Amino acid sequence: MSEDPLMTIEAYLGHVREHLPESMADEVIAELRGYMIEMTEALSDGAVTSTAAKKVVARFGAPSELAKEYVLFSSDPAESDLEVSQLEFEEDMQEQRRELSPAGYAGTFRKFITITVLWLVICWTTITPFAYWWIGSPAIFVPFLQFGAVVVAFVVLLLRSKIKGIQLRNVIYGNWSRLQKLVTFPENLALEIYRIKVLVDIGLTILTASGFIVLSSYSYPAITMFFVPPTVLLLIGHLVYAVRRFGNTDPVSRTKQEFVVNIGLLLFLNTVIAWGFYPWSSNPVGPFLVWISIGYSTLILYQIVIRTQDLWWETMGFPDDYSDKSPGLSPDAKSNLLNRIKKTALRTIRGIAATYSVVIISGLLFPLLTNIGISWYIWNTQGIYLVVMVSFFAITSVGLASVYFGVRYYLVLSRGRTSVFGKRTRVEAAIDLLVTGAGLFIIIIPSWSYWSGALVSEVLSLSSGANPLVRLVLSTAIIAWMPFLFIAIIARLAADIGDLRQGDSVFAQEVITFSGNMFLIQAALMTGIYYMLLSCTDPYMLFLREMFAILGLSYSVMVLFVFQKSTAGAKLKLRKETESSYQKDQAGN
Amino acid sequence: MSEDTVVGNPELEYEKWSVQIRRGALSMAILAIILDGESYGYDIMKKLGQEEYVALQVEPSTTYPLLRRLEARGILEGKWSDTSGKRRRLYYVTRGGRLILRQMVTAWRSLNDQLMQLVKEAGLE
Repeated sequence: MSEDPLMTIEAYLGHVREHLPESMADEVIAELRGYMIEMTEALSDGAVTSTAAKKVVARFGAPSELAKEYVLFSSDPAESDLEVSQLEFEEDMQEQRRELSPAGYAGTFRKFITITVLWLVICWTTITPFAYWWIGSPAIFVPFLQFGAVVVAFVVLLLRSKIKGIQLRNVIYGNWSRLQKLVTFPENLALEIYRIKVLVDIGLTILTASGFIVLSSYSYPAITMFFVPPTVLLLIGHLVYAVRRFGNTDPVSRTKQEFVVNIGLLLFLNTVIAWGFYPWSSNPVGPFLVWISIGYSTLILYQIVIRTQDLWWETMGFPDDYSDKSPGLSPDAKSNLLNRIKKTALRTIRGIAATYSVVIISGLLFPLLTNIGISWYIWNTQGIYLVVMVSFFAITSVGLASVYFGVRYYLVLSRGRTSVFGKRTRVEAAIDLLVTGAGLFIIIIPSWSYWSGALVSEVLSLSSGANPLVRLVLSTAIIAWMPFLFIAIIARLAADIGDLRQGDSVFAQEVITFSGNMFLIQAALMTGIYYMLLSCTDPYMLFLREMFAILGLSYSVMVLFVFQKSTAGAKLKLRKETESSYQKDQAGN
Repeated sequence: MSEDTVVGNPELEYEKWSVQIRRGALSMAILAIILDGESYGYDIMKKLGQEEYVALQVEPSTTYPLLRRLEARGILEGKWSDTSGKRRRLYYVTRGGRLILRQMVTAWRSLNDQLMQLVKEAGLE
């Protein structure tokens, strides 16, 4: 006669109960009973059999051991250190009683609608004094468009939870105000900011900022002067906080600062949209800038609505550099590290200065080698301006490097960090890929159309009066320019992809250096071509002014390239030095 | 003489190390499974029982008490549910739990990178 399988399980649970404290026994036994019955059903295909029950009991092991697992955590010696803070925390909690209650989907949706409408009213009312005509223009539909888009996004989120059958739960604290309760969404409504979302956010922010910079030249001067610079600055601010979220384990640290940036961004974007419908001038902003603003402002509105609840969420107290902090850095090691940072910083800055000098001197060498004369008038109006521009970007690059190494110096000095360079993670490589990809995209599109169009077909014919050597050098430089740019781009992408696959690899550093060199050669070629064209054509011709604009773009992107090339070179040198000193030590031993 | 003190049993050391690793990883695995919804213990056991997660398999006597521990520490929130006629305790990851999971992921990555660096330096990779 076979035993009753349920009795087998109950007998086992009875033994477990004997070893459990009374305070937790009922709950634990009820939970275990459910698990054991389900496991038994699964083992015997739905029909609970005695053999399956015995197998399950065997899998759970000795009752005393199982009970011990439950009891252990409440008397864990490692927790004794935390007792004091736990008591303090509990005292706080008496004031801030945590209340858990089920939340309905309809109620959550209504809550979202209310908060969104409130934010839209606040934003559009605030901008009205600066662009009051929006009410009587087609811009009146924009808030509805923004509202519709964020509601669709939220409905998708709600449906996803609904399909999974999740019972939403509201968590509120006793001392919360009505406002706090209003803007807080259910705790288990998956509002997690995943890395992929942050990556999309970063990509869109870069594209929007690029769009603002490129398209602002087609705008009304007032827009370009008063709205574009602060909007771009706020976009950069948003980008900085988005990038921080990658490396930071605490998603709610610096929420307040980020929130202020987002509100500012929404206000400026909405103002730009309203100016797009300025009735006394046709097309003052340009349609593309308005559409970019509408799209991006919707994203920002969604973030504001969703993240308002984070404003009073306490961080857990782990500093940002928690995993990186090294309390055990000895004074000697610290002093060595600080010296090394100084040395590397100087090496990088020297590299930057040398690189820019090479670009401008190589450019100047073209007219010198071909013995062509540029009139002083043209030199003063065009050439000197170019040199000043290169110097400006060189100083910016040096400034960037100084800030970078200054921060590293501070981190070692005050916080005991142990690295001269921040270790490049896969995520940082991905961001770099996006940033440099966007920069290269901005430069390659006009370069390609210019190179394949005006430059080759027109310039060579225009320079037909020049001497044969000038024509030879000019033709060679023009032919070589684009391939060098393409090689630089492909190498750059390969380096970032290499970093994505392997982390901080030597390969990536070597290819970044190579790509930087290719980029600099093409910049030098472009500079040389420009100088030579100055000598043989009219400097005010449209195609030459276009080339000047591309040169400007190239120099601005070069700030990042030169900085990265120099730091990559310094990293490689540092690595070689470390390896060689290690080998010497090994040989000595 | 206990088994632990037996000289010349390297396999025993490996087994102990392997169990400890899995136990250490288990809370992270549980939080990752529940993160975007809610689950109950048996669902988690089933997920960990799948072939692709064989390295994470541990006994139920470890998994179920761990759920309680994570709940007691505010990392999970549990609630009884009687849907489909079965009484089950459903868990979801609290906001604090999400934060802890992020920290665990960072720490795990860092540990893995550093260990693999050592392994690489030793010429084992």
